[in-house]
Amino acid sequence: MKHKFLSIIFVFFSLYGFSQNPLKLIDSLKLVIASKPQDSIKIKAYSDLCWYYRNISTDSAFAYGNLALKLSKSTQNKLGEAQAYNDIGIIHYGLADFNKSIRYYKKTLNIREQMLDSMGMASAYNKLGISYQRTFKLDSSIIYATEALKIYEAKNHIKYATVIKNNIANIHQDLKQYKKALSSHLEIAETCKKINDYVGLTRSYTNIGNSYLFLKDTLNSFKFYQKGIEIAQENGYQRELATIYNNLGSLFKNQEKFEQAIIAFNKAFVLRSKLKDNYGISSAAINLGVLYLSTGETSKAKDKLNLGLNISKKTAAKELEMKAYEALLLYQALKKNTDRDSIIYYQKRYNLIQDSIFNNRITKQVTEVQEKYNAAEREKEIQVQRANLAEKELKLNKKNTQLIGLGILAVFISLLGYLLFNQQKLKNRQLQREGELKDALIKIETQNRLQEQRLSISRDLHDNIGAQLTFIISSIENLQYGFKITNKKLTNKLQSISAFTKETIYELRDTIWAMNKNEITLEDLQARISNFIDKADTYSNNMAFSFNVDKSVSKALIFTSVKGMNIYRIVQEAINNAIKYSEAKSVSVNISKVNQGVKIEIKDNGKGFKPENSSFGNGLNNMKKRAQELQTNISIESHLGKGTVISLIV
Amino acid sequence: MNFDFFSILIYLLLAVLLAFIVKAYWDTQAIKENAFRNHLLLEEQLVLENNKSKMNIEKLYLSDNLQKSVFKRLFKITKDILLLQKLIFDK
Repeated sequence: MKHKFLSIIFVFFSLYGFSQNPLKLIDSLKLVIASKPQDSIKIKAYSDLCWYYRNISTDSAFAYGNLALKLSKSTQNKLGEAQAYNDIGIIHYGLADFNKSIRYYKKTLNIREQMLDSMGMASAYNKLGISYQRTFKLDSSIIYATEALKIYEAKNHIKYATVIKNNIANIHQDLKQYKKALSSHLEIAETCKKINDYVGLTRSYTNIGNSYLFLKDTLNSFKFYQKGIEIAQENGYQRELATIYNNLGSLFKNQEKFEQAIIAFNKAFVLRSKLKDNYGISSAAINLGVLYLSTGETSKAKDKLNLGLNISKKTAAKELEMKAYEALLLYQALKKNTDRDSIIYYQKRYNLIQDSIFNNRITKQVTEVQEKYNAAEREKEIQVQRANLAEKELKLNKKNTQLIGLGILAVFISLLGYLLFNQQKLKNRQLQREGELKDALIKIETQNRLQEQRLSISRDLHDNIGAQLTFIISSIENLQYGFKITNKKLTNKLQSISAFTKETIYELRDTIWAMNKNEITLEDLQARISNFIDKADTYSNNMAFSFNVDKSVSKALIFTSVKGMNIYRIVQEAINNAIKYSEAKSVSVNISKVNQGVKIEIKDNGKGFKPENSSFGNGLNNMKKRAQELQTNISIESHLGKGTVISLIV
Repeated sequence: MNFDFFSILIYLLLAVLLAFIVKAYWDTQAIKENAFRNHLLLEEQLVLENNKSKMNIEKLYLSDNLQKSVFKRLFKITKDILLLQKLIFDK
């Protein structure tokens, strides 16, 4: 809140400052600083103090400028830093210390370029152009002025562009291209009129007057100086007015109107003294001194010349210093009691300065030529070195490319070799495996063919045996009924042989049935068992048979032919045993599902037997043997008078 | 980049080798696939033949058992018939 308030006060003072005198403004700014505002406001206040002090006390101006610079650097305020450099540069320019002002303007330009502040850059270019103009480096001056003009024209700032054009025209004038300078100034004056830029117009009129003066057209020159004086007086442009009076003085002096010239130079001197324009003061004082010499007022001339000389020494304005010595020489020559030593002294000083200026110019020119030559030589050497370097680099690049190529080639060859080796290895391995498999296949096929042949022979044999057994039965029956045998013993024997033969035929048929099937389903087995129970039922009148298959048992259950045959044989054996020995009323066969598989149970309600007392006969042993082949246990449970239960799980 | 004859030759060789590498890789893959297919086929056939063999062995087992049993029975029938013959002749 406090900062906001201070900012408002500062803005107020800044605006108010345009209509205040500098001392009041300085006090106001100091008040702002005393209130400890924000750093940015403080920097602005220091900069403004530097600006307002520049015409009052250059030391104070430098002090505040340096304070603004220091604070800007410590707070990294680039804008404030650029402004401080600019202000300090302007003070140096005011003190005619153009080299220092150039240095500070360049620092400003550098920061503005970093900030991409095009308007700030244009301003710095302009000031650099003017400073270089003052140090007679007209080529640099015109380059910087042109840069500034480009920016202002791009931004469409007619007023600033006009000022720059004016500066460029002045440079042309310094290069003694007066006609070119005059036409530029006339054009600029028209522009200034259009945009109501009266400061610019005053300066343009002054410059037009100067151009006419250089072209020896004193009438037009005087006319434009008068126009400039009128506008400057109307608007209070003190600096411009001082310049015009100085130039007007020179015009009168050329016309040998010494009194009018003295008046004009005096006016310029007074105005420049007020403005603390050292260069201008020195110039005006020396001009006045020369004029006083012309009018014979030697004492006045001496005072002014000495004043001009001292100030020119302070400001290092060599041209003015030389002019002062030349005028002092004349003064000594015109003086009534000529002081020869003084004449010799001033002559020596004049020559010294002239030599110094000459030497400076020669040295500068020689240095420039040398530098240019050295630069060209260096450039050539650099070019040659660059060419050599480029050639070496090219060779190196080629070698590198080839090396890389060869490296990749080696890798590719290795990779290809590896792939081909791998491919061959794979082929060999595959062929070997295929060969092994084919061998095994051939072996097993051969084995199968042999087995099939054996089976085929077996089948033929079984068929033959079956036919012979049938023939035996038929023969026995023929014998029995054809010869009407009454002997009971004989009849029993015949019946026994016939029954045994029939049993053999059934066994043969059952086995052939199993052999003809690749696998036996539970359904097949069920049908076979059912068929057997039916036959048993037919032959056993006092015994009831039942056969139950639990619905949960899958009929698609598959057994191998051996397994199926073994199960069938166990069931057959158990039923036969029940018929033969149990004297049971009923026999039941049950097939049910259990956790481990399928349970087959043959149960009778006969007389039973004691398994521990009974040595198992062929039937029971066969059943156990078959159960072992089935890899399962057979359970035989029997109690006297309670029947027998035979069960197995498959 | 500037290339001389040698560099161009190297890079051309590289391109050719790369083509060969790709071809070799594809061929290897094709061989692998074919071998896998053939192997599967042969294994299937082998399994089938093995199953067939197992079944034949079982059938032969049954046949052998039957033959033993039938021969025993035939021997018994023959014996009974001979006994019957003797009985008839005795009468």
